Amino acid sequence: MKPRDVVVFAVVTMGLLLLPAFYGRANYLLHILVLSGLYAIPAIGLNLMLGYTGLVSLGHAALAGIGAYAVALLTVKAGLNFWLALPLAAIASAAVGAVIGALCLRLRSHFFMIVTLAFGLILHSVMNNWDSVTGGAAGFAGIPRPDPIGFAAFRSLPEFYRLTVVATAAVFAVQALLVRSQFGRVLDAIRQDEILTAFKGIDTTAYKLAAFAIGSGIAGLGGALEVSYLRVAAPSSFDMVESINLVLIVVVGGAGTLLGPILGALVFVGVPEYLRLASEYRLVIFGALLVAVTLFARRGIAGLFAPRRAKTA
Amino acid sequence: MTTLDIREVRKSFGGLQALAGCTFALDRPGIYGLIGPNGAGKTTLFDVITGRQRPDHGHVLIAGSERVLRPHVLAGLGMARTFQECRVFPELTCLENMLFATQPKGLGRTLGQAFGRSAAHRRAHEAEARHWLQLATLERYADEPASILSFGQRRLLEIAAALVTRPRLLLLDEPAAGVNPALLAVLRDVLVAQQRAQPAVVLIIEHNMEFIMDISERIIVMHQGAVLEQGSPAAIQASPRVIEAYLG
Amino acid sequence: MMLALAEQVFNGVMLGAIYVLVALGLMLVYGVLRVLNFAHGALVMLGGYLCQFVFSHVIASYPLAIAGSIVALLPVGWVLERGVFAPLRDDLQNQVIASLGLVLVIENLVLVVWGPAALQFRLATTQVLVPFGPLRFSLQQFLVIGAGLACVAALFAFLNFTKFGTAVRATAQHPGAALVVGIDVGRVHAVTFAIGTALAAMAGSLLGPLFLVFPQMGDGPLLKGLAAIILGGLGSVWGAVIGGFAIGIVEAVSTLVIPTDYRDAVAFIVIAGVLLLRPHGLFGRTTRYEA
Repeated sequence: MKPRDVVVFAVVTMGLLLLPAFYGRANYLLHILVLSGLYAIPAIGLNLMLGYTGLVSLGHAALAGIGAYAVALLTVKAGLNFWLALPLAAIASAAVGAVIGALCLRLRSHFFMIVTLAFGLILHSVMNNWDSVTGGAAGFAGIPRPDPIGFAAFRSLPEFYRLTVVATAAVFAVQALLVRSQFGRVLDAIRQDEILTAFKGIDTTAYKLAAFAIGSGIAGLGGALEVSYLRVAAPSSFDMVESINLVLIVVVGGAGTLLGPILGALVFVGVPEYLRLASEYRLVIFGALLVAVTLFARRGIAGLFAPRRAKTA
Repeated sequence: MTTLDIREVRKSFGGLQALAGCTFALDRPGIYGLIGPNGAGKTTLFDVITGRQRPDHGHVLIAGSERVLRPHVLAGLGMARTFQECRVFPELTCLENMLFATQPKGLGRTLGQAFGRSAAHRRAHEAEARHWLQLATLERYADEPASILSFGQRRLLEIAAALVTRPRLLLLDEPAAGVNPALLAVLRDVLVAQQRAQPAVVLIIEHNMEFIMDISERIIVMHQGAVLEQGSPAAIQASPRVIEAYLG
Repeated sequence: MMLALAEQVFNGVMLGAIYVLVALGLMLVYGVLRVLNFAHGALVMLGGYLCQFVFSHVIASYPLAIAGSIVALLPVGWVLERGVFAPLRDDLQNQVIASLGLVLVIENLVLVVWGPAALQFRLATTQVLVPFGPLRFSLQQFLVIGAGLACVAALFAFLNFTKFGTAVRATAQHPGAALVVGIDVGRVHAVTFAIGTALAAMAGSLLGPLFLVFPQMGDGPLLKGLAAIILGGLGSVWGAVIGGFAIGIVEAVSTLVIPTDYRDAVAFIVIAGVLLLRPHGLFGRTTRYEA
């Protein structure tokens, strides 16, 4: 980890935290940035799986949903403090992810994708239909904002924005530390040639499971923050379309790059808002963009700025 | 890991019987050749020894104990292999390819390290890795991605990367295939040097008769899933049964 | 009770016929082109919309509307094959990702053009009831089963009794060898994808009158089709047929015991269950290199 990278990271994070002071009442911009952050966090989790390990998981949004409903149940039904519920929600999604991973990871890549898609649908079906626990299709309302810490109450947009910045930065830092370590190098080797990696002495199943669990835990964190922001948890936020959106964000942003998920989320949320596009048009364009990326620009937007694949050393 | 004992191993894939009661023993370090017509079961035997496939029947004893372990465990115990199709990490540099197997491998260790301080492990093995690259005449590609190498050079990289881990049991699957004569001479020198430095059981599947007869102390001939004959290179080359198996 | 069961079994056979069509399309394209097309469901949906469009605005003849749907969908399939899947031939991960992008494009284009409201597709045959023992089913349901079986028979005949069909099978078994033997592999790919597209159009056209025409109508059939070929093994035609009918019957019968909300989940659970117990599918075979 070069010292220069750490300084840049600190400066950018500081700048983002100070943004409301400069822009005052720029609530719309802050809202866009919050939504981008809330997409970026699960995207970073998926990037760890898909971009770095080569695991194409098509049910990732459902794992964010586990974190979301966990926090909803813990704060509303069990009355827990949000700051206690948050890590528990992340652990819950990591655990569910680990179980799904343990079941799916020995499958060949086609089957792996199909089964992750199937699990995503099963989980969504449960969220949608288990009315007594999840509130069914209408969702689960009344989720509180995070409990106040010191003088930050998180009720207002600038304060929740700052929370999102801190959370996104923290998750980004975790991603960077993992990726630029021997752990990350092993994941990268698994992506390049899993059989060879196994014969070099690596328990590839354990590593893939770890990537899957960590990625799911991060997704759960994102889901938990999202429903706290929106104050409501609805199954439609965690369905197959959202899973595809996350894949889109990771791939268009740049799979296997550190900034990819963040750039992808900013583009996914920001550009259509800026252009005032209806959601159907947005998805047509992004769908086409996704196809174009796989054909012409494998390393996505981030790849345009970093011509050579960055070494994980 | 310096003995290998194969007893009555059978393996079928659907209707195809790849191994039909294969038996032989390698009881001390040395270079051994495994030859036979196509379809004799040689690569399947490697897969069974290295844990990639389970035998339907029979025993594989490594260093006297029956091992039914997965590839990564066997690798940790000192086994290394190369592949018929030649596997290297295409996006890693040659040096990184060499260093990969020398780094910490346990999940707990690598995860812990990620949040701790970066270890100086890589530097410790770098000198040795570069030495092997030099032996393999690849030192000028040390910092280039392996994908730019020619097929023969990739073969040498694959073998050198297997050797740098100082394996006690080394399985090479057609190392000479697709390699030009000049590099073949280098390959021979590398294998001989390795045996001097760290004697191991080296079992080589080959079709290049000149290469394998020159380098092996004993040849095992397989045919239709079983061992047809064993002996010194001279004896095998003169054996009428072996000649018939290849021509018949 | 037995009557309810018999009724659901029949429903299941009908659903199964549609799932078989979807599964065959998926499996042909996968077997020959090695492409896993997740956008196949979107093609089914588009086929349904095109059929409904032709029926309501061009000519009120169901067979001609089906033909029109097939004819109109074929160029779409051609563009997808040439433009997206051919360049990504050996790259499974990016194929699947690209096909997901195509799903977004196709589903949302349909939303833009036709709007989100479901369309009615009223046919006389859905109103006509035919007695079958003590039960009565709509003529459309019989038609679906008949059409499905006819397509399977035609496909079987094509693959096994025509020269081009043999070329298709050869290419599926070993593309390299097919080239060497002089088969025009490019043409085989194009024709196979076209057949897959036609099957999708057929499935959508049969599905439309039964359950309305709406943008997400292809999602369920896609997953049931995937479930069917997983049950039957990714390379087996008969597996796809058996798998498709099995999924249809299990889904229909399951509505007798579990809430209908969960009926879709049945197929997903089947997928998950089968693969976890038999990672190669029920009829798939172990190969030497399991990558």
